[in-house]
Amino acid sequence: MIEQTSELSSQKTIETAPKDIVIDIKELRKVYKVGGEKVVALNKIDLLIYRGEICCILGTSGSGKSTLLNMMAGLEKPTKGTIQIKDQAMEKMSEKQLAIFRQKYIGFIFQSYNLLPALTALENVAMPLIFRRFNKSRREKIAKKYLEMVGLKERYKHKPSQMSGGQQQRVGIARAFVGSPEIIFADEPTGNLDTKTSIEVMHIMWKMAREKNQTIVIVTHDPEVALYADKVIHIRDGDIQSIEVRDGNDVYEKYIKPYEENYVEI
Amino acid sequence: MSSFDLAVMGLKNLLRRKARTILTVLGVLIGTASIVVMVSLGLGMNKAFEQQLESYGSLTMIDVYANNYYVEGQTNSDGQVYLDDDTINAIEGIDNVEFAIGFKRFDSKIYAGKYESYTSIKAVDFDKLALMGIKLSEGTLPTGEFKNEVLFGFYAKNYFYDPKSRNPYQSPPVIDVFNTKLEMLPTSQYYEGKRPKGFILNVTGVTSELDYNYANDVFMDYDTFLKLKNDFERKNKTTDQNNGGDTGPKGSKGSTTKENKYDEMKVSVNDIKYVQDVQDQIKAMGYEAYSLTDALENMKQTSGLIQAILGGIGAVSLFVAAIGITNTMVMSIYERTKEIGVMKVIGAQLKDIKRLFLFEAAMIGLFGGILGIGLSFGISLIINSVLSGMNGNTGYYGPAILSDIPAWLALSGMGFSTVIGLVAGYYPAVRATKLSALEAIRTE
Ligand SMILES: Nc1ncnc2c1ncn2[C@@H]1O[C@H](COP(=O)(O)OP(=O)(O)OP(=O)(O)O)[C@@H](O)[C@H]1O
Ligand SMILES: [Mg+2]
Repeated sequence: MIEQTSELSSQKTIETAPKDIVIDIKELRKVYKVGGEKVVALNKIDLLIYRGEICCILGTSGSGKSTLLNMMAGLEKPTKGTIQIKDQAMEKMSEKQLAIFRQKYIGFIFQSYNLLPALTALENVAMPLIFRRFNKSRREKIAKKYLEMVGLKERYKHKPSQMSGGQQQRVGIARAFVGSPEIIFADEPTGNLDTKTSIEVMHIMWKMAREKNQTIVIVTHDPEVALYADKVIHIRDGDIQSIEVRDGNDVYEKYIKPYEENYVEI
Repeated sequence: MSSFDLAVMGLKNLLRRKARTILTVLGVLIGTASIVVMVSLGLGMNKAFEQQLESYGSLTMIDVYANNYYVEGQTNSDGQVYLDDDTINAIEGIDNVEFAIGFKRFDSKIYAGKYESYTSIKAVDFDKLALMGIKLSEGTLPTGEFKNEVLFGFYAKNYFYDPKSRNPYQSPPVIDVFNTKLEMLPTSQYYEGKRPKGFILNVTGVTSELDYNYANDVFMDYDTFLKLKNDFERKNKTTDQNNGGDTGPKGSKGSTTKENKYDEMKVSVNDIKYVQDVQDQIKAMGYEAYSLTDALENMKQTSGLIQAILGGIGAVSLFVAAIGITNTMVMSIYERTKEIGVMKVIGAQLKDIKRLFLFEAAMIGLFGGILGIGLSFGISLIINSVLSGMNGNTGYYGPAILSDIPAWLALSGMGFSTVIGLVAGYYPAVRATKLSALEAIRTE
């Protein structure tokens, strides 16, 4: 494993190749007030994420990972600092603008899957397309394609309650990717899954993101998950401790290819 | 999100919570039914009033009189007006007036065999009389086909008596006016023994018993009657003993003095809503004008008040139903906090969420409204059949319809309940859009 631990300040000099910056975070700070007390969830975060990167935010519980992700997804407003995604300042957007922005550019994968229990797998996957005003036949065609990609071809009509956790998360992944968003956020996508299933899920996400050069930001406390990332952001107590950058081809050679050889069918 | 998808999603959501949806719909149903039934009673009352007034006379008719009864002979007085053909032309020139018709009462006697009757003849233009829509119980309106045609008021038949009988007014004879030879003398003069020859009348029809307006009249064409009268007076050289003292334009032809050719006029207006306006214009011309709209106006105000009170009682229950809708939707939001949050995160727009909740609330209102209208029709039917049944037994002749649900009431009942649903759902809908997506994700 090639470990390129680098200081934040020198990050830009290391990344010499001209890449598109997708997410640009500067001096981000988030303080919660609980009662009269202040809880500093994020202290001072500076971070650049490039197009097509598969990033992991790795840290212990309470380190501020979810807080960081939620602010990137526009679900929370920072106390201080700026988040630019695709050159747009997230912290300045209204709720309405954020909703439009999310629909256009962002997919989201949840730890507890968060499928709508009344809907079938197919309907769940097609949901983001409903909001984009795709007609029924068109969105079902696309949704089927994505369900097939995550290996759930036979389960279109199944309700979430009729599926295992791993299967539900695969539906969740299909739903996040179905609109081909440029960025996908995932908060502990393997948090409720066993190791074998976690690997399966990571594999699927990796493959799908690479296919369309999509950017993924995954929050996890599991170092095994972080093995799949091009960039691992270590977080502790609201600060970035270090950033690990790897060559994507190495990740493929080491983790993806052997997996595919062992498990031909998913 | 397209409206169609939104509707499908909203309906699915309502069906998912069947029990609660049904109970909430039930509330709206009762609210709508009570408001509609209350208003229908008010409307039924209105209709009953109108029917009652209609039996007094047509609501679109204005009665016109000259104002100069007491200034008779005072030829140069200002503002003196007369009822003559010029007046008819002038009134027919007013907007929305269909026609104006003049009447003049002439004293006359009618003989039927041994019976006689001091029935005055109402002289009128028969062509115009045809426009009045007088209902008949027998025969036809005068056609001009026969000589000396008359139209008999149904009650005028009963005025005949036998002058030679000891008690002439007891048990009046039933005269079959169509098959009895009726002879008319255009005078009220009393003849002892031999009387001059009169004119044979041809009765074409008898007015309907349902309409008291023309009950006592015997109509005859104005020109025909004048001719008969002139004939009669020339032959008999009677000194004129008409009570009115006013013998029409007979003696004064060619003179510049105006006279009342008619003593009464009726003006027909094409719509009840213009009656007041036309009436005011006629009054402005210096005539006396009366119509039933005066009474109608009064009555409308009263019934409007009663309707408002009844409607208010219904509105209270609909208001309670509206609170029910709000309550249901707020509960629904609590239950669906997570779902709403997830939808927001995966691309729902704020207006999608808002419209979804508004739609669901509106649907509860609409369903409740539709079922409520159905129930109202049922209740209305029961009220009408029970009460009209009661009328039948007591022999009371009154309006059969006590509760009236016209189409507009049914439709506006549904519309109103839908709007109530929208209003009741507005607060929950706005609240749903304000739910933090983050809270939604965290709730576990
Ligand atoms: N809404 C909130 N109100 C108050 N404090 C909060 C809130 N959300 C997070 N925190 C605090 O901020 C800190 C960071 O929380 P965060 O959820 O980002 O941690 P995390 O790294 O995602 O942990 P985990 O791995 O357990 O999910 C914690 O100390 C937490 O208590
Ligand atoms: Mg977390």
